[in-house]
Amino acid sequence: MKLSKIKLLGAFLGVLGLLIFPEIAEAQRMRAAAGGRGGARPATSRPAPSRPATSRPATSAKPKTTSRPTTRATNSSSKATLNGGSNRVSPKTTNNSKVSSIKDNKVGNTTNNRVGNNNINSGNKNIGNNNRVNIDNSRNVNVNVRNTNNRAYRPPYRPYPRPPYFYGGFGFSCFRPYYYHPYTPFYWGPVWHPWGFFVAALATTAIIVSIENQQYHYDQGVFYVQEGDGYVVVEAPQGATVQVIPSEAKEVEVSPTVNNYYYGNTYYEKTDGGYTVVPPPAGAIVDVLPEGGEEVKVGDQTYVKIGDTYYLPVQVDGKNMYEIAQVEPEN
Amino acid sequence: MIKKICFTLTILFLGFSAYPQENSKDTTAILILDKMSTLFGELNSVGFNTHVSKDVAFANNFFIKEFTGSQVKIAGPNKFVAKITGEQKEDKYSYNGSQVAYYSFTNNIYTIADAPDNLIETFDWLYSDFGIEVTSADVLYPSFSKEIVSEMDYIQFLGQTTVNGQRVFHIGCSNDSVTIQLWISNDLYFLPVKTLITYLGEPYAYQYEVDFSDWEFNQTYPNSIFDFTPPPGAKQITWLNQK
Repeated sequence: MKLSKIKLLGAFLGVLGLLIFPEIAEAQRMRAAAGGRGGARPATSRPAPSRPATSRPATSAKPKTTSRPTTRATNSSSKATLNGGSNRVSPKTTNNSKVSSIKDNKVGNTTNNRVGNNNINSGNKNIGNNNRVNIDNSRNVNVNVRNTNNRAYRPPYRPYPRPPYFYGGFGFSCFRPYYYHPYTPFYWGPVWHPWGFFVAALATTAIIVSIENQQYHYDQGVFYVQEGDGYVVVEAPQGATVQVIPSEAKEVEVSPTVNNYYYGNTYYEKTDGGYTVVPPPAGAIVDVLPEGGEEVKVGDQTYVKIGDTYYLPVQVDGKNMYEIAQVEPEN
Repeated sequence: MIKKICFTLTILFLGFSAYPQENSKDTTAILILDKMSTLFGELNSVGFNTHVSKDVAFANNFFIKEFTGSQVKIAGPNKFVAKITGEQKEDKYSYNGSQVAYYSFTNNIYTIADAPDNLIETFDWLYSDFGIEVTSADVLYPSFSKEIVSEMDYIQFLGQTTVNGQRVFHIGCSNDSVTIQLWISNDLYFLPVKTLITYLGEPYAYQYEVDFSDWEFNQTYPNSIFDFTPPPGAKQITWLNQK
């Protein structure tokens, strides 16, 4: 009887203890849960530490506290965050908006949209040694390097297999699936120059080509117009015919029976009189693009736009290429 | 004779009742849509994941399915970030209240555009100027249920069912050009669990389906997740505006 009273008293005190120290009770329960069957393990089963106390060197390798920056942010900062805000190593940048409107560009298979006077600085380009021309990279060129009568592309000989992707009132069509690869401008050698490039003098091999009351100077795949005391590289005028094109020009398949020649962002078609400059053939593919293009995000895809022509990055037989896109106004 | 007349009238009555009524708008469906819309109107922030499947024209008579997944965090009144993963792409759109940044992890290119100063206008602007549809943005509009009622000819509560093990209300809406089905959770929150839009375009209809999951409400998201810093080597490209 006495024994049962003592047991009852013990149980009562136990419950009282749990009520008074609930945190301890919780901690024990949590710890037991974390240890799984920890309660069954004898307390003496873990051996005493065998590592001698003297094994730790007296001079600790731990860096001295003075090596830490003394200006470390403390949590007393006015910012109510975990650590008062971090000290950034990389500076915060200001991002500049870069948007252009599709309506500002000449797209579609039409003409007559003068871009206006472009103030182009050729920049500092390493073009190699060339004794024949005197190149002044530092001056601003005030000339219309774009050809106003050029068309952005000519339509393909066959229909597209799928409906166009409509964007901003225009339908973008390509034969091949989109496959992005970075746009890396290509240089066709020391005698080739991008649009807007200024040279003080031309080589003696340059010839004069006149078309639509405009006189051009042509030399080794590059068209120039006279500007002040020199010459500026301009977009090749479509319809112009030259006798010789650079041997580096590559054949571009336009249709099973027609090939064009591509050099320096200009497309030529062989005619009786030589090689005539023609619009970029939509649907055809080229492997390189010149300087002067810009990558533009059109919906989910990124095109390279050079002049008024859109090029879709594609992959053909594992090689990165560009397909000339057709961009027609939506009916 | 009387039997014949009765039979004819019965057939006519059944025919009329079986055909969806023009401009039929079910009050139960509207109530459920209103409950969902009200919830979003009360939130300070929301986060969720989506799984999207959509029909894409591969050829003139050949649609293929494209799948994407996204992780979205939206904080009122003017911040969001969405990371989208899909076939050959891993993109991020972030909006910090003044600019929207697009970044392609796959291609290490980005573009920036100055944006309106609030979420709703920014969603509209992204769609109208750049053709970007922010998944689920529709349900976040304060006038969502009102616009559904005004734009749809037919709104019907189609009953309760189960989607991914969750009890949901099934609502169907349609007009001449589109049908919309919504599955809204039958719980305290009335959240969209799935939406399926069928565009009745020519020559073929095509679908856009979104599954929602992992909803978060009124979490405090750190501002830094909405900021964009171009990674080293990233190239800024031009964003072509449709206007």
